[in-house]
Amino acid sequence: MSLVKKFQCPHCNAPMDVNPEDAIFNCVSCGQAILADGSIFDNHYILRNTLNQKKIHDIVKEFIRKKGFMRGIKGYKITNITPSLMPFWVVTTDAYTHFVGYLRYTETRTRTVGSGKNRRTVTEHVTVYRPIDREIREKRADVLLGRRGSSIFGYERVKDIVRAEFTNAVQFNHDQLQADEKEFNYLSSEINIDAANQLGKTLVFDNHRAQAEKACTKVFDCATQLTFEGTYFVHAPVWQIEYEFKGETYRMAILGSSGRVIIGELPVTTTFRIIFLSLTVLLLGGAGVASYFLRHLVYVPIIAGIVAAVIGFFTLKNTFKPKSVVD
Amino acid sequence: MSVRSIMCPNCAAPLELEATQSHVTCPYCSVTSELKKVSELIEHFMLPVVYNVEQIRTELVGDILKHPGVPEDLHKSLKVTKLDLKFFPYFIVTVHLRTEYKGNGEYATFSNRYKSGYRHISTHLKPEQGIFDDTREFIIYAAEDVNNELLNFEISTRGKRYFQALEAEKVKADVVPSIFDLDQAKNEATNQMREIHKGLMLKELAQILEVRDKPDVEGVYLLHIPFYFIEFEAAGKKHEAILDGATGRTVITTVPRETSYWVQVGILTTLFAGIGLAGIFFAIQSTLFNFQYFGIFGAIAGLILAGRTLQLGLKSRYRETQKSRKRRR
Repeated sequence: MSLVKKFQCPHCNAPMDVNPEDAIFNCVSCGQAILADGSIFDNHYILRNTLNQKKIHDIVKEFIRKKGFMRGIKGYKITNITPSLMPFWVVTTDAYTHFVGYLRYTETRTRTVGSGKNRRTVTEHVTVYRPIDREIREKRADVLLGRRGSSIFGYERVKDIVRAEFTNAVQFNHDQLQADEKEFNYLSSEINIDAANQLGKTLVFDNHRAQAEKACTKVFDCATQLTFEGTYFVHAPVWQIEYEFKGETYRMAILGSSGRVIIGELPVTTTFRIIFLSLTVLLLGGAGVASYFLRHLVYVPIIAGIVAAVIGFFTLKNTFKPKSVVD
Repeated sequence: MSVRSIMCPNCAAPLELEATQSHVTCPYCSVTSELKKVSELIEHFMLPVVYNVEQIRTELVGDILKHPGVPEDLHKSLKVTKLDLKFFPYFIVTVHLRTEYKGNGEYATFSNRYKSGYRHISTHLKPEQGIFDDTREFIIYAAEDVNNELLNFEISTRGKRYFQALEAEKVKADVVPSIFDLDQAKNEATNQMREIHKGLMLKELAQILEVRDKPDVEGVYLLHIPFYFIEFEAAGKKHEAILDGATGRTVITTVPRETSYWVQVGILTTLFAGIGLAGIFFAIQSTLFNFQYFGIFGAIAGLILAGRTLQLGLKSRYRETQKSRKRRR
């Protein structure tokens, strides 16, 4: 039974190992990117990693010192460091949208009526309609995840960073990868280039319509046209770190190209809970003191009460939450 | 979903498989065969069970221990009383839909100029037509038993491999059958896509007169994801949890608390509520003590904070990840 299809690299003819979940492959011997239909794909870029294990330790230390200063985190231990190359599609488009609608708003006008003794000032609210007929024209780079991201810590957050750092990406080079980023866990994309383009187009449509709806009270017409200007497959180096504090594991993700902390979890310690609870109580006390001394003014206790309630809403949340997620 | 039996083409060992299974690996000779006779070849995947019972317990305890007021010796004291491993079906469908529509859309004329706008607007209808053409991906929960936690869980598809009934059997897991076949899953996704286009049309048109659409399902596969259903005892009470066996994430768990925690929450609530009630008293009796408006702050802040303390303190469920609310429906 010859049910097995043999895959070969169209670039160097080496036999290829094909994973069913990948929609784009890299030849293990020459690194050439190949689409699922077997054609060569050259728009493969990478953000170069600049970090190493030692730098990672320093970044984690700095992060915990800076962001966790009130928590008394002493004696944490890094238990796991996994560098990965995470796949993204960058769909560049030239998008044009024309939208028509109107904006309704209220203007306040004051005018003087009457004369002599009856002369007085009247304040009126006037509803005004402003016709809107506008265009959005822009060159966009929309970033899509190559994989469904939820189980990869920090993956979704990297998306926005890739958009900003995309210009620093260099052509993917297999030899360089073998030399410098060998320890990286290489992830390929499970969505293919056509799907990436289509989903990218949907992103532009949704985004432009949202812009139109923001500018208008009512949109009558909104039509978008776009031309694709190139789709790139981009890998971003992300270091995933697990560290242990008081027996529990917390995670961090650091972008390897810039050393920026993408997202990190911090333990909520007893010290932290007590600080925020005391803050809530002090706030309430402060509101009480202010209200007592200015007790003849009705708005002071009202404002003090509202301020204490609003801030207390958040400080209490910090008292009860299981862990902090900081980016 | 019925079970079929075949013979391994390599070593003739008997193999059992699910009706929609497209590939099978023989446990005796390790040869993978592709099955051509499936009614319609669904790409059917599964996520492997990466976390074993011991590891999943550690994950669960780790998540619980991060909460305030839980027993500190939970790693030892948490007792798992019941544990089920079940594979739940999800269809992942990519739909391309092109909708051509005709109808009457609104437009407006403005009159009575005022500053940078107009005072009056009158809207009219005019014939309008257009096209929506886009692609979206839908994840369709396909189990009969509607579990809202699993329905709203942000699934991961990483590490999927071809479905093997034997692999589920090896870990003693039940495979929950899909209530949808391939066509129904496609229809379900197409209908969801039509709803999106209908919503868009209603934004463009006041009256829809004619709709012609052409759906095209660009990709569809069935994925079975392993979930642990755990019942456990901690702090003298029974609790329940669901965890993802492929990624170790906590879908949901109830959080066991110690009695001292409830006492603390109680004291705090009483304190805030006390300030609130005293505030109301002072506000009402203001003339009596010549306190004037003093109590109003307490009436506002004290009662709101008491409510907030109760809301946060009594929250007994924890979910590690959830579908973001922004997600397009």
